[in-house]
Amino acid sequence: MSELFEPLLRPYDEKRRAELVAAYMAVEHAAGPVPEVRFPALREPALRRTVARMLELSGRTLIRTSPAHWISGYDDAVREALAGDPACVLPIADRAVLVLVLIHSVAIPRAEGLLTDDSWLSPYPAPLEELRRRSQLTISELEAALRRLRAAGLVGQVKAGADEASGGYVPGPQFHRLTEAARRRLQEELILAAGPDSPLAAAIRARRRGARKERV
Amino acid sequence: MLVGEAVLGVYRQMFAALARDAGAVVDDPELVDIAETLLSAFAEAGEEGLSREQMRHVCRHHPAEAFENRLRVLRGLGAIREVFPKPNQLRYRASFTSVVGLMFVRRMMLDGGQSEMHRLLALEQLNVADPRMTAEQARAGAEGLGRAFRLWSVELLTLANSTIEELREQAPKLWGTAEIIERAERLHGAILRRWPELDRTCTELRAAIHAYGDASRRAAARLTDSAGTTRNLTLLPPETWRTYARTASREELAGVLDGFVFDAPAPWHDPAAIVTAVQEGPRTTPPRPAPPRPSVPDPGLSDRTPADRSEADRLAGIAEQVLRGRDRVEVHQVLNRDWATARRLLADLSAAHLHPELPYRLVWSDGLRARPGSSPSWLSDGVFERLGEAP
Amino acid sequence: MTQVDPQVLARARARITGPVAFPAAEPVPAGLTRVAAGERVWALPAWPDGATPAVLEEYQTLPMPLDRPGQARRVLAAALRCCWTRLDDAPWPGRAAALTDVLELYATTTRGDAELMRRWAVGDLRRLADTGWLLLDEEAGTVRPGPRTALWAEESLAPLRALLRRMPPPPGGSDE
Repeated sequence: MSELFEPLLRPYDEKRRAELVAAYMAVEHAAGPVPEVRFPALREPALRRTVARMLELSGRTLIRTSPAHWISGYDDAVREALAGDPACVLPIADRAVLVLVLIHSVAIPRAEGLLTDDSWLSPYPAPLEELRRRSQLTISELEAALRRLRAAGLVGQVKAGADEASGGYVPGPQFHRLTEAARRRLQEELILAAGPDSPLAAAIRARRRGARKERV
Repeated sequence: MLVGEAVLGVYRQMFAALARDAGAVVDDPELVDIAETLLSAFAEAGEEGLSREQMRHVCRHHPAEAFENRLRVLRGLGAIREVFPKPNQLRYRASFTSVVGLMFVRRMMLDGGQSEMHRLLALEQLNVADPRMTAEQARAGAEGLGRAFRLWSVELLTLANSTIEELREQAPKLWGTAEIIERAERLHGAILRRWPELDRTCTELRAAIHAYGDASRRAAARLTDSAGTTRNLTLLPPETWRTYARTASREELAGVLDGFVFDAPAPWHDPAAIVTAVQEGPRTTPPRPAPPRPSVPDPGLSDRTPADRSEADRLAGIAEQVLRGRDRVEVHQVLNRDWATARRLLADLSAAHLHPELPYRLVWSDGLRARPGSSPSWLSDGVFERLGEAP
Repeated sequence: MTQVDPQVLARARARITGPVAFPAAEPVPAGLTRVAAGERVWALPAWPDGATPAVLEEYQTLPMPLDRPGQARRVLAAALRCCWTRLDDAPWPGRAAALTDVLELYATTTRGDAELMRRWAVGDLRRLADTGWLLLDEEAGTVRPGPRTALWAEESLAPLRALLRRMPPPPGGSDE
């Protein structure tokens, strides 16, 4: 079963090998970034390199989300290559609803100066009522999409609190798994979509034109 | 008070040209608050105006000294006037101009003059089409706009060399949208067509517009290149985000995520976790003797049921214990024990009754059974029952 | 742009699409586990040294959150009781069982309003089918074990077998 990993794991003794496998499984399946104190194979740079190479075999990459915390995500080149594959793209309604959640839960609180961490996760839920009343999507579309997004860990549901705090939806744990380039791209795409006339959008377009020219 | 400070900042800048000395403009945000409070009270009062006592009343949360000071200045500048509707009756009225002035200040504070610039450009465009407009007036207008664009660029350029945080905070108020620059260029073209002799003024205006566009682009480019993967979202105002979320079509929204891929849901149901779930689940038949639990290292983690689910299971367990296979049971029978235990049990049965997912009901009749010497010393007649069919 | 190894892409793709059946004649990309039944084949992840995501528990690490995992697993147990009848064999591929039997068994072994239990169970069966734990054919009214059950390690199955032996037989089905 593990022929794939054998060339990478063979040089290690049993203990190291088990540590490597545990770290690999943890970064691939955990709900959030895992602390390296719990995983020797993430703590030691040489072993961490091996974990990263195990991930590379499936187009994955190791992401450091904060000092001493790690998780895996799609490598940027792999993401770009597969994003054109129709089988790899979320249904249109799911993408639309997810973007609404990102705007209400991250972009607006950010613009209002409420968020401090540079993260796509947010404690400010987008209320379902807000998503329904102030968008072009129908309620059945919204609810079905939110169910699917929740099952995939793309949104999380926050229950209304006893202190009258209203419940709603926040970006889910999958947003831990975006590389820095992916997070940056998400920010740019949102700005291009919502403020196409802003100087910032012009600067983003100019930079992308420049990057394309360099590639050619 | 931060907002108040900001109002003052704009206020000082706006009237700097008119001020006799630096001290002539208020230096306490509270004084602006008093003026606003007064002006809105005047607006509500209508043509009756306000008496001095009424003015003091609406400003009762401010110190008397501050109020007197403000009233003196506002009267001195003609923002508030004395009127005598009847002999011996002194009333006050507010001037329309002052309210407009404050509205203007607030607007300047919100967008740093962007919308004022829009309005000015629109107004100038109308003027240029007006047959009564003279070349001299057009020249003055163009020169004024040119100066504004120049000063704007200088501020932006200075800012572009400051810290990224400062730039991020200030730039949206200063930089020009594509629309404002387009408008300015249209105006420039219109002036030049009607008064070709103003070509030098127009060339200068044009250069100023370009310098401004350039400074905007430079500030934006620096922000685009800055570190951070969500921080620039703050550069569009909340209202822009809200409008987009409200009006964008399904396709436009979805397009934002072009170029992204995500994991399919892939929960892992381990055999041991399935066994645990069945053993801990609510069931109809009395549990058979449980086999030894499989070695699951941390039972707290093995099956993370949401809190309300496990609470429902707990309550169901208690309810079934009380019912012991029956469909209903008299409450006084099950509560016939020490008070602390009985009270806890009663709380659980009530909770089971109230739980929306659980098929139990607690029904009280009117009777009250006093039981001197027993615990509890009184009990209502009531039954606890299971709703629906139980196999 | 650098070209990505097509095999690497194929393995990444499997994680994005989840378990999708394709004709048995098609090859499964190298480095994935081939799970076949009849004319269909699935490409599932291959983990090193027989590890499964259950290893996360040993390291006090939470897996991706799941709604009502207890209920989902009880529904899965009821389904397995009906379609994994030869308990000495592996659960995969098992056999088709009537959907009504699964719902009936779940409703009778779980306390609560039977109609409500059935409704909930249908939702869970769908989610289990979406994630490859069951194969659900709602038109034909049948349930079978899903390809993901083929990833269970044989040595981890004893307690589950014991549990299924203790569960009541499917109401309408022929229990072997």
